[in-house]
Order: sequence, then C-alpha cells, then structure tokens
Amino acid sequence: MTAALAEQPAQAATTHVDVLIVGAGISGIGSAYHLQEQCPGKSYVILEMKDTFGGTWETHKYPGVRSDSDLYTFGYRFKPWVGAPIASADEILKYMGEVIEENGIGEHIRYGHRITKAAWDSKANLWTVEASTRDGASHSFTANFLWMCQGYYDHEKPYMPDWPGKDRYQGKLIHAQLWDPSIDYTGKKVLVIGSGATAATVIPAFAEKAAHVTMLQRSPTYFFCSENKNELADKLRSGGIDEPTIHRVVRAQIMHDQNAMTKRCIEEPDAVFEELKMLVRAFTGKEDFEFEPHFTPKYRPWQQRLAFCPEGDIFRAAVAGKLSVYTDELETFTEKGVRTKGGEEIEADIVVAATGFNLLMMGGIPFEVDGKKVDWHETVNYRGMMFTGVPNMVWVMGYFRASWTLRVDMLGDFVCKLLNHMDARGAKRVDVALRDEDHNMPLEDWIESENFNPGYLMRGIKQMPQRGDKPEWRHNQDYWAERGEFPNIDLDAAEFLYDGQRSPQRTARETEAA
Amino acid sequence: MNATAAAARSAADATHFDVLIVGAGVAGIGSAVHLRQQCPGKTFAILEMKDTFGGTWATNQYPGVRSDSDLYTYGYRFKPWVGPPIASGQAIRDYMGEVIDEYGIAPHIHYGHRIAEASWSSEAGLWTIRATRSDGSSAMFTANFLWMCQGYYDHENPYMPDWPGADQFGGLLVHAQLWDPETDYAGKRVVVIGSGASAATIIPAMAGAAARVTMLQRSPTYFFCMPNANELADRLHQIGIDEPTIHRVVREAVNHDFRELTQRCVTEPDAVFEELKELIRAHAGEDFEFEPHFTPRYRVWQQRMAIVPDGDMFEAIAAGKVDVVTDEIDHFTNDSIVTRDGTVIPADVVISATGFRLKVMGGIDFSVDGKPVDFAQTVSWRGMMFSDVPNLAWMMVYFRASATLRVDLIGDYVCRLLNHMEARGVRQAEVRIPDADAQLPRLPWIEEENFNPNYLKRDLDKLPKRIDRPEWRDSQDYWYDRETWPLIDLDGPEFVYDGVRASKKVAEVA
Repeated sequence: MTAALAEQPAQAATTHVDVLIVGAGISGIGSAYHLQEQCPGKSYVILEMKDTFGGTWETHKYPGVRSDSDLYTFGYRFKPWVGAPIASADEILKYMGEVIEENGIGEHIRYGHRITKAAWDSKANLWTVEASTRDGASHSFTANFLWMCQGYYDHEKPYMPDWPGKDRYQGKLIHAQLWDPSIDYTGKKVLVIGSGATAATVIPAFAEKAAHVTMLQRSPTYFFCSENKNELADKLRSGGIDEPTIHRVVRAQIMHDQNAMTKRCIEEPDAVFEELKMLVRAFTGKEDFEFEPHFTPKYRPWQQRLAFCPEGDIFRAAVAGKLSVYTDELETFTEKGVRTKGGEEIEADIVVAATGFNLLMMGGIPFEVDGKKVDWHETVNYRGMMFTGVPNMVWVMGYFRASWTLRVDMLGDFVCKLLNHMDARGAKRVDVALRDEDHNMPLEDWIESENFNPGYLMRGIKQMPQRGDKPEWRHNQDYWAERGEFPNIDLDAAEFLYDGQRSPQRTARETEAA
Repeated sequence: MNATAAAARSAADATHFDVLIVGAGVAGIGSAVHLRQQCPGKTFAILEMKDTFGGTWATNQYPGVRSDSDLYTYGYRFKPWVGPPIASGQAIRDYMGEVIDEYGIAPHIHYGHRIAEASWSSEAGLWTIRATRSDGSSAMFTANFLWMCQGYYDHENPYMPDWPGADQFGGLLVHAQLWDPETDYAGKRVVVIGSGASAATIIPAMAGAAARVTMLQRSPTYFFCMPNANELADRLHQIGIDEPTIHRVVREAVNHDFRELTQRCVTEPDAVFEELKELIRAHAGEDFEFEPHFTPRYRVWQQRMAIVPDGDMFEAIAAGKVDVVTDEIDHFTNDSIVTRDGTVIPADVVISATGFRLKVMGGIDFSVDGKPVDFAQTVSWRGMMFSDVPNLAWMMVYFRASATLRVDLIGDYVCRLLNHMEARGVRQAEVRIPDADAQLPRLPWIEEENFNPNYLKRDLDKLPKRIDRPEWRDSQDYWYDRETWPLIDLDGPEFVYDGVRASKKVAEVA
C-alpha cells in the first residue's frame, strides 16, 4: 500500500445531497437536467458504477451497435436531435456528452461508484447510500430523495442459456453484451443466436467482413424495414426551420405514427404483417422473398417490440447470400459449432449469443427501510415508478414499445413537481399507499403476459413489484394514456401519504362531503 | 401667411397622434398590431377612406375573388392561418376582422376619412393631415410619423384602355375592380378581357352560370396550377401540432419553396415552364394545346405567375365552358367585340380584367415645409422611405412574394426606428443620399428586365427613383430584405435626425 493511500481515512465523511440519482445513463442525465431546471435549489449527485456516462450505450460494444428507436423520440424533448433517426452508440454518447456539457451536469457525477446498500431511516427521513470505489474505499451519502435511473437489466451478467456442450466448443463463444471490440472477425464464420434487435444489428454488421454469418433463432421476429431518414425532418430542415421546432414537430409525428401503428397492430395485425413484408420486398428488390419459415413469427405483432431494420439491411444480407438462417433450437455445442434439435450441424469460429438481458431489479442494490430488507415482489407499484412501503424514491422505467426517453422526460416533470409539492407542504417524506378501496384489489405480476412478453421479463417477473387492476397501481406501458394522465396527477390524492398522513386537504374535503 | 404658421394654426384644432397609419387594409391592420406590440406607448390612429376595413379585399368584389398568394405567407406572422392556402376575399376579411378584434384595433380606426393633404413642418416636427369625411366635413390631424399603408394602386379608377366603339356597346362593360356583386350574369355571354390573376379567378367562377365565357387576352400568361391544400399543414394538423407552430413552419416551407421556384425561374426557365405545363395537363388533359394561348412571350420571372388553385380555370377550359382568344381588340360593336384579325365575339357582359392604375401615395398632396413633394423626384430608400421626406414610411408590396411578408418586416423596422428616435430624443428622421453618391444617376424604380407588368410600365415615371446602391432601391427580394433589414444601422450615413446626419452627430459626440 502506498503512503498516500494509507493516509486516507477508511471512510470519507458522509456527503449529503437533497437528491441522489443512481446511474449516468440516458435516464440519469435526463433526470439531472430536469432537476436542475425545475428544482433549481436542490443539491444532487449522480452515482455511476462505470468510469464514464452512457449506460446502455457504454455497455454495448458489439459491431454496428445502434439505437433501435428513432432518436427524435429517443432524444430528450429539450435537446434537438439533428442526425439520422437511427444513430450509432457513438453518436448517442456524443449527444449525451453535449447535454452534460451544456448544462454543467458533469461536476455532479461521481464515476466508479458502485452502490452496495441503500437504507431509509424514518427517524431522520433520510436515505443512506453506501458506495464503493475500485480502490476499495467506501463512500457514504445521505439524501432526502432517491431517483433510481439504473435501468432494469444486469449490465455485467447478460442472459445466456446453459447450453450443453459449451466446454467442448473450440471457437469463441461470447454474449453480445460482453463483446470486446478488439475481436477480429474478418474472414471468420460467425453464428449469431437470437432474433431480436441485437441480432438484427450485429448480423448485417458482421456480414460486411465475416466469411459467412448464420442466424440461429428459436422463433422468428417481426422486422420493420425503413429508410434511415425522416422525410418530414428533411423537409423542415431544407425549409430553414429551426432545430428545436424540427425536433418538437418530428417527435410529435413519430409518436403519432407509432401510436397509429400500435393500434393497427391490434386491430389489423394481418394487414400490418403484409405491409412489413412489402417493405422487405421493396428493400431487397426480391418480390419472391421467402418468409416461411424464418420470418413468420408465432406471436402477434404488438406483443414484442418490432425490430427496426434500417434500409432493410438484414434482409439484404440474406439476399446477397451472406446470411443463412435456421429456425430451430440449439441441442448442443460441438467442437466446431453447434448442432440443432433438427439435426443441423452449424460450424462457426465465433458464436455470438444475442439472447438478451437478465432483469435486475433496482440494480441489485440491497434496500432496507428502517432496518427491514425490501423484497420488491412484496411491493405494489404506483404507475411503475413508486412502490408501497418504500418512501422518497422513484424508479425510471421506460416504455417497451415507445422510446424510453419519453418517460424520462415525463417522470422528470413528475418528480420535480412532487419535490416542489413536498417543499410547499413542508413534508419530509412521501409514500404511496393502497387506499381503503384498494385493499381487496387482486394483486398480480408486473405485466400481463398477453400485453408484453419478452423472455427477460417473463424470467424475472418474480423479482418485480406487483400490480393492481387500477390505473394507479400498474405501469400500463401506454405513453399516450400517461401523457394525458401524468400532468394531471393530483399530488394530494388519497394514495399519497406525506409524513405518514393522508393529505389534510383531502381529509378536509372528504369531511365536507360527509 | 407662411407655411409654418398655417401648419401651426391648423394644428391647433387638430387631433394629435404619435403615429398616423393611412389605410385599414392588410398593411394598415398589420402595421397597427406591430406598433401596439413593439411601441406600446405610442398613440395612433388609422385613417381609412372606405366605410370598412379590408382594402383590396373590400374593393374587389368580382365573382370568385380570392387570394393569389397562399395564406400561410399572406397571413401575418403573428396570427395563424387555419384554412386552405388560397382563400376567398371574404375569408381574408374574416381573418382581418379577427385580428382587429383580438388586438383591439377597432377603436383606432377612423372610417370614411379621405386624406387630401399632408404637410410636414420641420419647425413643429409634425405632419398636419387634412381629411374629408364622407359627409363632406373636414377633419384635421397632426402626427409625428406617417405610416403609408394605402397600397400602390387607385381603388376607384382602374386601368381600362380606351377601346374604339366601347361607348356603343349595348351590354354591360365593367372593370373587374368595379364589379357590383348584385350583377346577374346567369345565362349571359360573358367576355373577360385579360389574362392575369383576376381573369384567372373570374373565368372559372363564372363558367358555371354564364351561357358562355370567353377569355380575350392580348398575350398569354404563365399559370401555376396547385392543389388548394398544403400537404405539410395537413400532416402537422394530423399529428397534433399547435396552430402557431404550424403557421410558422408552413410559412417557412412555402417561402422556401417559392424562393426555390423563383430561383429556378431564372436559372432554368424552360424546365420550369415544362413543369407548369405538366401541372396544367393534369387538369386539362394530356393533349391540352398550349399554342397559341398559353405560351407567353416574356420570361417566366418577369411578371407575377398567376396561381390557379386546383387547376379550376383549366378544367373549365377543358370542359368546353370557356373559349380563349388571343388577339388585340379592334373595336366594340353594339353586341360584340371585334378583334384585329376580324374575330367577332358576341357579348352581353364584358369584364375588363385589365389591371390596376398605379397611384403613388394615394394621390395625397404632400408638402414638406411648404414645398410640394413630387415623389418621382425622390429616391427611395429600400422602397420604404424617401430621400428628404421626413417621418414617413411606405409599405410597398412584393411583386413575387406575399405582400404581407413585407408588412411584418416593415413593422419591425418602423417600430425600431420610432424607438430609436425616442432613445436619441429626436423628433425628425429622414434619409438623405450620402454626399459621395449625390451625383449618381436617378434610375426608374425597378429594372424593366427584373419585373415588367403593364401597370408598372405605364406609370414607372411617377414612382420614386433608385440609384445604383443596394440600400437606395427596392430589392423586391424578400430573402434579401429579411436578412439585411434587421441589421440596418439606424445611425448609418444615410440617416438624418433633426436635420443632422447621424454619423456626423456621432462623430461630434465622440
């Protein structure tokens, strides 16, 4: 141990802030912006596990890594996006870097801080958050309010099934989430296992340099092929419209179109599928493109996220003969590759598992409230962002079907309004609690599997808070409904407790009514 | 009695305003709004000759009367337009009426006031205006600043050539500008003389009810058929964008598209003409014959293109409801028009859509310190102020772009000038040609090869002059004005405040 380190106190003094934001990804940076704008008096820090900002866009380094939402809606409402709708991770990081720079957020971020514990103390009305840095030092923070922007999946341990024969395999097996950009795949045979957005991204990127790419999917996915440009944005830009207006207008346009598309997916899924096929035919120029069996999903088009396919690239790779597709299950790894249940032997130098996330509730941080461990599955969620029995805390969980960031902006408004409301009331603590009329409400898993059912969610559903059958007690995943509802949330409604009490205004009103 | 004393005496029983706006048309109403917004402390009145607002849109009552610009740019920048791009005269008047209501302009308008005289006194630092009311009585006003929004043409005496035999014609011969909407033309044989925007409006409007409509033109015009809808506006409506944003965005887009079109008219006039023909064919059929009636002799940018919404005129022609004759009139008979080549066109009603008569400064007698002003002897500064005429700005239209674009630009400029005068503590502002340029030759208002419609050519010598300096001419270029006007240095070498050159004063102060 060096002298300098030895002289450091084992535990630095506790740092107090009004608000502690967890995570410097797209949610954390956006939330910090809203906090600065809407609660200018509040002190805050952002604790970030990594050594840099970016979250998801920092974790993922696989070839071609890019957004699977358009950036006009994935971008924040307050910072115009000026590029093509689908952006590379580097472009997104640059955009986030500009937000940090332009708003002086950088000085609030503590990098390399991994949170080891978050404990609420009702006597002090404070969260105590312990974090450790790589040097082994532990750092203590107290905060009145915790803003959980750490996302919903494990950044370090992705989901990879425990396939038999993995040990035999002589090539390189790696999960896309852990891909190291220094891996050279030039001239190699690459096998990609999976069919979601990640697979759709890496396959055309691999196809450029690999000898051949094979896609092995258990079941097919819906793909939405589109040019990577926004005609309205281009039209407005060529007309000399200012970027903030373009951003606002194009955001509205995309949301409108997506909403219309979502409705059509439900009302006329077959017609939508026919249109998706038409797009594939148009981009490949192959009128007789064969959709059976590899591109005919078993589920309905709204049940999982449509994989965006800019310029139809994955299908063009297929038509160019650079890609083979197998729809089958993996039986075992072999020395040279894999064998499927259907008996196909697929040889590969590199196998990339694009098999998705592992859900990780609240970043896996042990939470306590007054010394009692929090089991998230025992809580009931309030609109997917607050939880019964856990005071002064909001979680930013985005949308599955619409851009994540839409909800970052919306929750930013909500949290700031809540914080300002607490100040106005002089309240130190806010809870959500079931009302009298909620006590017989049936509680169920986080989301109806017929609403949205990707594997990571179904696998982790028992880690997640429960929901009720009323709008307040579920995350409805419906941006359009929430967009109308959120600004009108009555912060003195009966589901909010301030310092343990139902709102006095509400009590008075109820008394009057009685 | 000298002029100053006369002015002083009239001023005694006159009503005083800081700013007097002449005309309650689209320019006057817009200017009033800008004045209220940007110079909230100024008192003002609008003097209007008619008994109602609307200007051009009150004057012209011919069948089908409508805008020949799209309303996203013809509308004011501060008031969203929410209808189809080409609007009826009535819809435009309704829009103006809403502006008058919403911005509280009505109490400031003095209707039925025809201005006879306007005299400036440097000693008093005031304009004295004598107006005649509808009842014949006289009204006197004084004002520090005159904002001339009366337009550029004679609303009462339009241009009609002196055709031989016209007095023998037994039917109705009327200029479009003087058309009485009570006139019944059902079942009549109608001849419309002219080929401009008015003719293009009247012809399809009358084609249904009239027995026959003949378009008689001396020479062909370029027509631009466009759908009377704005796709971008419709799209933005559909996705729920607010009206002010739609207005702003669509205005920019329309401006941009017209700018591009204007540039292309110069760089590739033939390609543009081919496209115009394609648009006409879409309404009139693939085999529509352009020779000889629709092949103009001039270049496509030299006169204003006439907009034909939804191609209605060409549909009427293709449907056989309209005849087109391209020839000059030789004479009228009792019941027909005979052309030079001997064609006889029987007619019950003849509408002369032969255009305006230019009228400089509303025909008002102007004097400065007792000396009559001949505007033709002045030099225009950017087409809006005039050398050695103090405290006066004129709103002249754009020939190729929506006039209202300029109303907004001039509104900003005049308000800035008024506020600057206030800040400098001066009461008189004028522009004067810098000494170095004093000897430059005086040239006509606009280069003939730039823009040459007949109403301009006929009376070009009555308009103020230009010299070969960018600020001493009317650019007739919206984009240029929009870029350069906000940067005008109000203490630049051409400005004279209280008789002293601004730059000199600055130098003295320093």
